[in-house]
Amino acid sequence: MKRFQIGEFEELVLLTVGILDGNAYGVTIRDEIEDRLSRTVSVGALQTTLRRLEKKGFLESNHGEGSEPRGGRPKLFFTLTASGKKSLDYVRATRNELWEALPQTINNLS
Amino acid sequence: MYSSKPPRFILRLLKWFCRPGYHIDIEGDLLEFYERNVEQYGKRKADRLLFKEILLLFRPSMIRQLSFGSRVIQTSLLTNYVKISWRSILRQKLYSFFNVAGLVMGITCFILISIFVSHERSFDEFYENIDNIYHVYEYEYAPGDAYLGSDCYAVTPAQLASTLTADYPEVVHATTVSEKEVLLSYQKDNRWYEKGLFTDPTFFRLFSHPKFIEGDAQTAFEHPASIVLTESLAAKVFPSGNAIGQSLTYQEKPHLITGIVKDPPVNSTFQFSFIANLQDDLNYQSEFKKQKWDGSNYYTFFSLSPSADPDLLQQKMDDLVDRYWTEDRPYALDYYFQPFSDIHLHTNLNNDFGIKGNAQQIYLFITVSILILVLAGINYINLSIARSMIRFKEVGIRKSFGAHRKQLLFQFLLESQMLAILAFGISLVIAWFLLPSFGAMLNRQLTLNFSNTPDLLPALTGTVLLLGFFTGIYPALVISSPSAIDIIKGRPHDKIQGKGTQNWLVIFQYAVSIAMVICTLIMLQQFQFISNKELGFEKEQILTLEVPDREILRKFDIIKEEWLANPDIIQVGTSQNLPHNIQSGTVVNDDKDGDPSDDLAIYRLRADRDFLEIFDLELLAGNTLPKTPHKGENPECLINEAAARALGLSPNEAVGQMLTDDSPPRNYRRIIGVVKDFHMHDMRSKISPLLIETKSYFQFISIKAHAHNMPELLRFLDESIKKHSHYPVSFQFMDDRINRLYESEQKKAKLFGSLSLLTIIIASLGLYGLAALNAHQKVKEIGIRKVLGASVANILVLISGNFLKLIAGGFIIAIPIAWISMQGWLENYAYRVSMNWLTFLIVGLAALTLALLTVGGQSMKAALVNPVDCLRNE
Repeated sequence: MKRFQIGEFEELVLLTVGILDGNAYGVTIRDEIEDRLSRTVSVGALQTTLRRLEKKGFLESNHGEGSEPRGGRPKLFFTLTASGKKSLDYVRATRNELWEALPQTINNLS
Repeated sequence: MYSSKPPRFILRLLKWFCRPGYHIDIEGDLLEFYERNVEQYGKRKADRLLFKEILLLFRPSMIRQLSFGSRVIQTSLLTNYVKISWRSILRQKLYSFFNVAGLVMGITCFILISIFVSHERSFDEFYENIDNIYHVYEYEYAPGDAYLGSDCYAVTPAQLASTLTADYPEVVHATTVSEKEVLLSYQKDNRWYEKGLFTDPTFFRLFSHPKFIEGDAQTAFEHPASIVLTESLAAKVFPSGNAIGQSLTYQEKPHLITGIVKDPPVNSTFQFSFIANLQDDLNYQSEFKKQKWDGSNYYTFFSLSPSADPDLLQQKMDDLVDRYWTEDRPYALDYYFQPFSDIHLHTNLNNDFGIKGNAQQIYLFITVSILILVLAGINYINLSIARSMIRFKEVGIRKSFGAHRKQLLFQFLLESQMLAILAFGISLVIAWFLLPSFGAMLNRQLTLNFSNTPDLLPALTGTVLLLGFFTGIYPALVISSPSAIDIIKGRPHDKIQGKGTQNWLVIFQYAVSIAMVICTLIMLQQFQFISNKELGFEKEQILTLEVPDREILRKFDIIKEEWLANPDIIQVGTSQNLPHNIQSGTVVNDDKDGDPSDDLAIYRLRADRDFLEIFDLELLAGNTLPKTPHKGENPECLINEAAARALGLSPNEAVGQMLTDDSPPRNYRRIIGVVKDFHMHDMRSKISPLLIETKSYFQFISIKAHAHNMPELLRFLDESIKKHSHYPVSFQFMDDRINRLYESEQKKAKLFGSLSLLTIIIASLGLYGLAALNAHQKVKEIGIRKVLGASVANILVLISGNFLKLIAGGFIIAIPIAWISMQGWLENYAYRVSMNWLTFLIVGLAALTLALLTVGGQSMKAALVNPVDCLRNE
């Protein structure tokens, strides 16, 4: 299932796009990640990842309206595709598998 | 709504590198963030954040694809480009030589100056916590002009360091340092006169250097009479090792060697060969005990906890003096502090320590080196454009075979890069050879060591590549512009683009070089003026000695008697300072009510009657100092004219007046005479009020001698002084001392002069090349003109006239530039030459003549050619 493998940041971005459900573009995605995870994200890192995910077919994009504070520039909205969802499922499943395989002694550690 | 706009260049930058498809919506996102940031942090920070974001966007997946027409990797073409470039360099040896020679000169200068600048900036960088270390200085609100050019003093009282640590919790460590040269002796007969730092144990906690090789910082000063040697001094005194545990004697007291440390690096402001415990010093002990705030003899440094705010501490320190110094104060003073990293380049304090640099000088050098680089670049541009027609055929053929313009641009850029890199290689070798003498001119030990300054090599390489790019791009655009059809059809070539630019570039070159030569000449005139200026005191045939040793003071009567017995010695006098550099000062008042409003800040010279005689200070009124000073009340003193003027008295009126110190104990001095003004500092400062009085303590001995056998006399003096002192002494001639006042300034002027010479050479090289090409291109025109009856003179004017116009243009631009910058420079001197329009005219004419010679040879050759030779082929 190599096709669905994604990195940690990619996973975050995919999930966030999913959460935002139709309202996901550069600004909202970044805000969401920064709010929820209190981790700073540069526009460069975010855009690179978005484009990569789009190229892999996990995201779809379409242009929205331009608005005042953006100097009239259009927004580029991203939505999760079916294979994007699949890859999230895949990641979650592999994680769960690994979690379940963790022996009890380790779970008691902390 | 859209209230503040980001700087346009930032967005342009994004547009320039970002992939076209991605650009527009990313820009929208960024603008949205920007808007928000402006509200939250203000415009400046928002701009900065935006810039940072855009820089972070510069990554492979975001930037647009580079394309040279087609995406095929053109290795075979690349080798062809290199081959063709190399051939064209070789084919036109003269132009290639001019290009490379100009570039080599420019780059060599740039390398040398970069090494110097990076050396200066590296000062004291090796301390780990340099950003938290500060130096305290004193600001005195004295009446009148700034004392010795500054009202700030690097020295502070003995107890300041401990006061700072006690009163301000944010001060982590504070230490007291003093610098002194002393005679160290080991087992009686081995002596070394060495410079040391005297400080307390905190020093090693505050400064991460010097590192201990033997012993350690905690225990080094446990024993009060202890001393730590540097590696090199230890090797000198104890060649066989085992320095630890031995003792060295100075000031008649043995000091235990408790450690050996690394030598201070050349880029350290502190320079020393040993560190001794200050707490063992009697003067320090007594000053510390008295807690007096009016005697400042020590340097104070402290480190601030990283979280503390230096500005806040500065505010808290405002009332420091008022809290502790409650008695009547003759002058107000405050303590300020400066980052330790500023000490080398950005200070102007009296009584400062260590090696000093000069930020302005560095900016000047950077500017000049960049200018020279630009001039060399201009040569390349001009010569390339001028001979572009030679390459047109090649361009035409390449284009008709399907070459894109971008490919051609790339080819010509490659050629200019090759030349620049070739020149860089040669320059590195030349710079390596020149570096020692260049360093000597600036009093620095410079080394070409790229591992010490890791930024230097990348910075230089980057500069050279940029130079190659900027000099290559314009000619490349010009050469690759005509269409293949035009070239193949042989449409007239004389419509070469860039003729106007070429003219402007030549004008610029000459403006810069003429301005620099004018500046050099005016500097020379000023130095000439200084050395010819009447100082107001005798300076010939006077030997001087700075007394290193109290022993000499004690035995001075015997020594003087011995010297005067020598028939070659006319007079021997003593003083605290020499007349060309009076360092001491006080504040006096001329009435008895002690009203501080008419206080007079006055320089003070302590000297005896014989001193006045030796230097032949002219008396305008009253009498000279008495042979033996008046004991008891109202000692006698002399003042100079400037002091009389400041008191509002004529010289005759001043005699008999009383002067008092403006703080208790109010000693009254009686003015018994007025001397004529003399230059008591260098020519930068004007003659100020001066008080001359007698004191038994002195620092300098001056000897007036007959000239016939100076070497013999020096030997006599050396031997006689050796009987009384173990210190190494050296007698110096007074006129040498005076010349040394301007030594460093003159060295800099010399360097500047060589640089300006270089600009002239570069400009001439370029002009020569242009003239040669011009003559070559016009060969047919000349032939036709000659056939139609033009004289040789007509032809000469035709070829040279344009160039001379350009140089005249450069000269006109150079005049105001040189005038304004020299006006600024001369203002540093209270006594200065006035600028003479003749200087400007001479330089202008010289430049024209030089240009005429440069162009003339080529024009002459062209004018004398037989028309048959050049028209025969038509």
